Amino acid sequence: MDFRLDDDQIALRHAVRGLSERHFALGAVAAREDAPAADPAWRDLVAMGIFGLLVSDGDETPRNGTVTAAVALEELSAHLATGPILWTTITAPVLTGGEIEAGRVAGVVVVGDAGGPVVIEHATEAEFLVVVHHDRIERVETTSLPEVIAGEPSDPLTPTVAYESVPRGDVISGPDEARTIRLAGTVLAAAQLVGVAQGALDVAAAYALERHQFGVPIGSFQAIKHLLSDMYVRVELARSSTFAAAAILDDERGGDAARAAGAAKLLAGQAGIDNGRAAVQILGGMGFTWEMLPHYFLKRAWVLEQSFGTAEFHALALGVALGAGVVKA
Amino acid sequence: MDLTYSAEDEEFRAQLRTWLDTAVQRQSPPPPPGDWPARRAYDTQWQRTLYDAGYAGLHWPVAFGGRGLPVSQQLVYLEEYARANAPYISVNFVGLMHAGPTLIAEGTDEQRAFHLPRILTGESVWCQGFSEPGAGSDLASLQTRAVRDGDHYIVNGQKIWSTRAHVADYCELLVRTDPDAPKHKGITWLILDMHQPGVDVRPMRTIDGESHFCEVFLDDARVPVSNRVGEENDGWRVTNVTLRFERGTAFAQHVITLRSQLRKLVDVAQDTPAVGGGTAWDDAEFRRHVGRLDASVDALWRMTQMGIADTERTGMPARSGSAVKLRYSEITQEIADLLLRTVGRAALAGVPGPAADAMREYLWSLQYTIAAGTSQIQRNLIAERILGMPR
Ligand SMILES: Cc1cc2nc3c(=O)[nH]c(=O)nc-3n(C[C@H](O)[C@H](O)[C@H](O)COP(=O)(O)OP(=O)(O)OC[C@H]3O[C@@H](n4cnc5c(N)ncnc54)[C@H](O)[C@@H]3O)c2cc1C
Repeated sequence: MDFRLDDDQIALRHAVRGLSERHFALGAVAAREDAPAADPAWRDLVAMGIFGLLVSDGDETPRNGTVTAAVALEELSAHLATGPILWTTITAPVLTGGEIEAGRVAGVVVVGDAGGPVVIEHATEAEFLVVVHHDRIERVETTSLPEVIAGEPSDPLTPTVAYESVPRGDVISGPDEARTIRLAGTVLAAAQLVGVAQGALDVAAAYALERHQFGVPIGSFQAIKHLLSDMYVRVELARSSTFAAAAILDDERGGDAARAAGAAKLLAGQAGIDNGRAAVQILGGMGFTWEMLPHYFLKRAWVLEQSFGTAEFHALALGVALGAGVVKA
Repeated sequence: MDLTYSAEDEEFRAQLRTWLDTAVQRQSPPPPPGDWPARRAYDTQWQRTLYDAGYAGLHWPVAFGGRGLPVSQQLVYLEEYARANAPYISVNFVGLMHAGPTLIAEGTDEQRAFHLPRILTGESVWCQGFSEPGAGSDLASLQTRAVRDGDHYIVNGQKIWSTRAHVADYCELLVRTDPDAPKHKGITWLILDMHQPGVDVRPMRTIDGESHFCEVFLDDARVPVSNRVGEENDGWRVTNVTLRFERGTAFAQHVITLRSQLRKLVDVAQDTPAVGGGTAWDDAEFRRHVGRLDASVDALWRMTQMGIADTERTGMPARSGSAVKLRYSEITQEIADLLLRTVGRAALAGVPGPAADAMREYLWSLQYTIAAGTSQIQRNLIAERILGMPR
């Protein structure tokens, strides 16, 4: 039992922060709109080993790999990093070494045949797609995809397209790997949401100290303080839940993985969206402009909320599981 | 980061579980609400039982009579204690959770040697005499006066909302020793013996018709100088030590009990017929609501675990304890509110069973956003002390 990050994980956090400041500076966010992640940034992510964090070394499964990946993805996300980072990370274990080096992987989870368009982030910058079904994983070549449905992505930092449908691809793995990828995706999407929630809090807190009205910083008004402290509570709660879920994925003797992942995603989604909105409010009229950062955080939060199960989906699953477990007297 | 328990932890769990199962079963039913002398006897007897079995003060250092167990086993203890539905800590709360820890951190050797064993065995019960009619959130404006008279302080003033003071032996008493100093600089932290002339305890009727707390009138009460914790006029610093424990880790047991509170809600919902057939539980929105609560309950427990681990490392609960306290109080109220809605009109007539309990629990839950620093105060603290907003 140990709740702390180890020294390597703390060192990685610093390194990722350095990388983020070089390639994903928040001050230069507008330059990254509607574009794939720049090649130098992607190369540095590859070089830092981010996409190998979940990959086994021979027979050795990486100790604490999900926790380490959560550290990295949270930090990148707090800087609104671009590129298919999540899917490239979680699919690496089912792809062969060569394909990982080949680069960017986009993906999507398909639940039954829900119908309607299939919406995929980063599909246009990916080498190929990975489609996760309930019982299998397929690899789909981008050349086999139909025309994209014309539209404008809601998040300027997440190029996202819709297709009427996605063709069948080659089955590359079975149900166990499909479950593993879904769980890892759920927890790491939660980690990214924690990063978004923290980033929104940092932006709002900095503005609250800088912006003066009535002759004082707006951060001295209690109404603003309470918005900020609620942001803090949401992010702390979501982070605890997310890192606990990551540790459980790394060693399932620590708890119920599906339940922990669902709880983390639910809380992190709330933290991401609510903190994004609160940041808009705290920045006032400037918060409503494209120029300032809050809208980027809010829009990214919605992208992640709609991935790997929405809050409603996880809430129902958790409720049903709890109900099934109540032992009648 | 590793959330698994070691083989030793699991062995500790197995022994504890076996012991708790029998011990809890042997307990007589708790006394009826409102019978405070009986409650005291019940709670202190249970504390003695824990002590005799070696399960008292697991989180206290060995040097002070505790077991000094590693964090993992403290957590196992909390989990198993809740699972066994063992008696609520109740009258032992102040002593075990913040008075004892304050003495460990700040007391003299004599104070520790005298009080700590008595707290652990359940021999003495503590209460908290911080708030006054004019000093609640603004605690530092307290007016109860203590004047030095040789090796005693003579104390005059009034305390209020002092929980279970009617059955307490000692009190964490804050007094003003220098009325001319700035308000934070003239306060002293004293140990008050409740059984002495000049201490008049009057129970107040609380929102649920019971009397959970009291007014305490002090009229020339004498407190030996040797009962001072910390230096004269340095009491505000000591107070903050007490509050860090009270708002930090003291709620651990409460947090884990949220799980059974939530299970009980589900249980009641599954037994409550719904209009148009089925039960309240069949409503998907109800299940989602419970699911959302479940996620928060789980996360609060994770934060509590991390807080306990932090305390172990640094000796003091982290400031983020305020976040746990804040969210705990909201979640416990939300569950109580949902339970009250679920039992419906039967609660209005106090129909014995889940309905009457639901109203009592609902009213009781309202205290959590007030006591130990209101939620507004917690939010101020988080914004100012953690996020650096101007005062
Ligand atoms: C069940 C229960 C048990 C208690 N047990 C004890 C005990 O054992 N010992 C003890 O000493 N005390 C105890 N208390 C007292 C408790 O600590 C105080 O009630 C609490 O600190 C609030 O003080 P107050 O009641 O004077 O409210 P006030 O301070 O008058 O506050 C009234 C309202 O104003 C708000 N408010 C006040 N100041 C601010 C501010 N700066 N910013 C924003 N809002 C503000 C508060 O949040 C609250 O909503 C207990 C209280 C309860 C309800």
